[in-house]
Amino acid sequence: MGGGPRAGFVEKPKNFKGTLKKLFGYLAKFRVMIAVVVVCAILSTIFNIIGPKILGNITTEIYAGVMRMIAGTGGINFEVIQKTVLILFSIYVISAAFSYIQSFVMVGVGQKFTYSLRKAISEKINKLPIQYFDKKTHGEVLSYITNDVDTIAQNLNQSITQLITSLTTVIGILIMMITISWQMALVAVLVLPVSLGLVMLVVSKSQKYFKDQQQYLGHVNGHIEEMYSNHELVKVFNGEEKSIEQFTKYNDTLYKSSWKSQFLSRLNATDYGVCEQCWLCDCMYYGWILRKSWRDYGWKYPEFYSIYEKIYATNYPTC
Amino acid sequence: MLKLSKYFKTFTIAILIAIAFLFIEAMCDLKLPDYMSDIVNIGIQSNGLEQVAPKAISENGFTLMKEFMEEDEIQYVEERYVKKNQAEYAIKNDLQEEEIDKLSHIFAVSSRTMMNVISKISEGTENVTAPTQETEKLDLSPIYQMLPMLDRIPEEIIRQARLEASQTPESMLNSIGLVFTQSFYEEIGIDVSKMQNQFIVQTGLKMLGICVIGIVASIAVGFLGSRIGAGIGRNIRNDVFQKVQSFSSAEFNNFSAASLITRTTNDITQIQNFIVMMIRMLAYAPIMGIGSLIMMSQKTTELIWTIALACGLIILLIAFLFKMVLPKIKIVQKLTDKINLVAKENLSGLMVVRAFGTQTYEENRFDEVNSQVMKTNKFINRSMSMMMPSMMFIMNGLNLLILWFGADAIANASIQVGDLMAVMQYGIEVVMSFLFVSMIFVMFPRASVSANRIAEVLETESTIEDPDNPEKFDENKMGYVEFKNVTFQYPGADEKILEHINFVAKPGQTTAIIGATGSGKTSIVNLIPRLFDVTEGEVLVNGVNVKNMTQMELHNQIGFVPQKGNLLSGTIEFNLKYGNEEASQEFVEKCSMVAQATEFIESKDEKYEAPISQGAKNVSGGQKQRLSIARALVKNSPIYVFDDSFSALDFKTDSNLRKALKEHSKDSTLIIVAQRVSTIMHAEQIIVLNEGKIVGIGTHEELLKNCSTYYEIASSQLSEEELENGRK
Repeated sequence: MGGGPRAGFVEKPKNFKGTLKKLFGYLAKFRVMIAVVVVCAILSTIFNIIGPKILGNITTEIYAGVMRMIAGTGGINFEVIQKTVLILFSIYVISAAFSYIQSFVMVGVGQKFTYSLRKAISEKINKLPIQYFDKKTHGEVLSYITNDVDTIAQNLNQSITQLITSLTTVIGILIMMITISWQMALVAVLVLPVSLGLVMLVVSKSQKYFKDQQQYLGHVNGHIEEMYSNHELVKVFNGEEKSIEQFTKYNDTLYKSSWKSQFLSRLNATDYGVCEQCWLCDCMYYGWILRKSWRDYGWKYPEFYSIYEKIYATNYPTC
Repeated sequence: MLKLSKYFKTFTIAILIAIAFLFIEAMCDLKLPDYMSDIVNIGIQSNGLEQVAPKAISENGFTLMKEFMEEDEIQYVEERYVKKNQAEYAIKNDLQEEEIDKLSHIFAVSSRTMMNVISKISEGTENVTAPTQETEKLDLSPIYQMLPMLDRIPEEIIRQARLEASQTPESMLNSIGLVFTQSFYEEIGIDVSKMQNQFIVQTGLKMLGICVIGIVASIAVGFLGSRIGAGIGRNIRNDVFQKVQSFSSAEFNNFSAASLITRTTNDITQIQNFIVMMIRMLAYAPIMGIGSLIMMSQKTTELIWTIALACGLIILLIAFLFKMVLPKIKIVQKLTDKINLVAKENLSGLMVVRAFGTQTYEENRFDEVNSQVMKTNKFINRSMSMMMPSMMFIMNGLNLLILWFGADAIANASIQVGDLMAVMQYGIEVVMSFLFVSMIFVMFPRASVSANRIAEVLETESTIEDPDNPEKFDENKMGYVEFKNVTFQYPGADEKILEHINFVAKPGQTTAIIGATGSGKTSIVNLIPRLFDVTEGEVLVNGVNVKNMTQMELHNQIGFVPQKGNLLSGTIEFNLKYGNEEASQEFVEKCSMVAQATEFIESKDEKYEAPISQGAKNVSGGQKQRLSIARALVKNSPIYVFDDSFSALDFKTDSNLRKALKEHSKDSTLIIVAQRVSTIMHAEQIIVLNEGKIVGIGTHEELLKNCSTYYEIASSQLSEEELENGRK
């Protein structure tokens, strides 16, 4: 819930690996909590995936019942459906519970992490050689403490949760799909590298603009900070015009990199990454049905469909 | 938020285009479940047959079907089929959709009637089996063998069978009809499975096409959305910045610099993010929701109540969370201001903190705010994370409800299986869009707080404005600074800082102001460049009231040296030329010489190109003062104001500087605020201030004699000998 741009990716530092290692170092003290998060995420995901599978039993039963009705040999067996609905209900409750525990713990990790990062910076300020501040404006340093820390925390929180849930979801769904029809699973797996490649392409493009955006934001904030702090001086020396002119320049540059990075991040972090995958999966897998397997797997179709829908629904909020 | 609406107007067209693309995207998303339902209903369940009315039928089959139709139906059918060759009839090409539907109905009823008849007359006999879905094929030959016998079937049985058939639900009629149609096709050698494949391939391709359009639309929305968001952000930021630059010190002190900084940076970023979200969600969600609802009600209206229930639960959930979280969100905003403030204070007081070793104190102070932020954010995020699991639960529950009651509906044959699945998906869409709209309402207050903070800045008018018709300077009084009965109190303050101040500072003379801390010295000099407006009386520069000239013109007359000696980040040269960019290098160097700054500038490697950091932490206090004096001199104005600008200089530099200054600007008006008597004792006119009132004006010598306040100050700073010299 912090401020800062909702960026999918943070500015890439020169030593990305090293920085990442350091970040994970900070995270090390939360390993017990993270383990809890992982377990909860796995459990929640398992139940999440079992759901559609069982839901599929209902649609299959309804379908079979309809066929029996057409044939005049019976109808829908409501006892079976009732039993399945009750089982599903309890599964949904359990899944929701685990999901909440997971985010509850993760919020704790994220916030403590933010806190310790801020604390570390505030302590570092008092240890750094004075010369460091010759080249940095106050605005820049302030922006590290508020905006950047927020961005890291937000991304970390999202990334970890997403990594865990995505991984468990993907594995779980794969297993489910294989149990239904390994051919369909194969198609879904084959689609993955395609969309992954697309995402990677956009990511590599967007990195540059992100870097620019953070940098120009630093310029803008630095200028604001300096001009506001020296307001009287600027006034008495008739410096307003110059200051505004400089600001407009910074602001325009920021605008240019800002919309680009925002656009690209939306492309990769949301639409492209998720919907693209879903849509491609969708189309490919319809293609699969229509080409060969409709007769063999037609019955399983509703089942498979609800699993697919599940992936879609889980990812929907980020779209 | 409304207060910022004018910024949206600039982007009206872009916003409208974005919404149009959103509409396209929503249409594509909505169309997909429809096709999906087609694939299940027609492609799989009906073996790819789109209609019961056969497109082609054998002579035998045609006769057979007509056998179980009413007279008017036979006529209707015959009008719409043509004989293609000896043994085959084909449907006419130019039929309307309603005609085909009616034909389908006729054929379906006829098929069902025949089934009923067959099952009635074959009771007990085994030669004809009713087709079941398991066999999926119907052997027509035994039925054709029965053709000649049909006339012998009693009229009563056929009427009975027709009655039963017409009471059969439509979806089941269709299923039976399709079984016959399939058989008719196979009879004349049409490959039904090929037809089925074709249908599915076509539908699949259509879906693919729609997907592509949807993706393109979505990308276009992303493009426009980010441009609009970033553009509005830029415009607001520009306006806020310009506004703040126009503020007088009064407004500045009112808001506090730290708060103005957050308003110009963080708050605007918040708004920018919100706009991007809003364009996407607020436009897309209702289109999607309403569209889904319409599509759904075309399939069935029976299950809409389940969606209403789910939406109701969501409202309750959101209202609950909202009530818990909202007050805390407001607190976080304030805490962000505070964390900025504390860090900023630590940064600007870095030298002091280090010198006095108060790092631990600073760190503790920061830690306090920091942990407050953490606790509040933890509460907010934990409450908010209840959202997702509950939403998922509601949505899953909705699926269950739809399936449970949908199964009933299917049993009553009021909807088809494929439709039920489409309904499930539409249901999810409706609830999702509802969710997004409500989320926006949740996010709104936070953005609204930011918007209000920005609007506050934009709506504040500077209390100091330029006159419409500026007066011309009085030629005879150039360089004069006059205070006429000036009384001043800071805006919002109770106490008068200055009372009844009267004096005239003339060109070629030095006017010094001295007094204890808090006696109002700085307030006097702040009134000269009109940083504040006087409460009573008037301040005249060049013979004109400062309120009757433009601030730009006024500031051009004054070379001001502020108390703090602030410098801006940039090179030394940039700072020195700040008031006069056209100044020649020689003049800059000459002024630096006067200000006694040459020595240390020359000692730097980059000389005039040497960098000054923000807050000028890489130069000492004395160097800062000398640079800011040089900066005022470079401006080359007729009046110079020095606000306690010699305090950090040692006595020798102080005295050298004053000598050089007198020399350099002998025609200028010098106004010097000082605390050291030695700095000002040679001034032509010394004004002694005490608690906002002038208690003496005169030369050093005069004042020593007749002003006790001055004598007290002087005696505390000067030696006995110097005092005696002054008295003589």
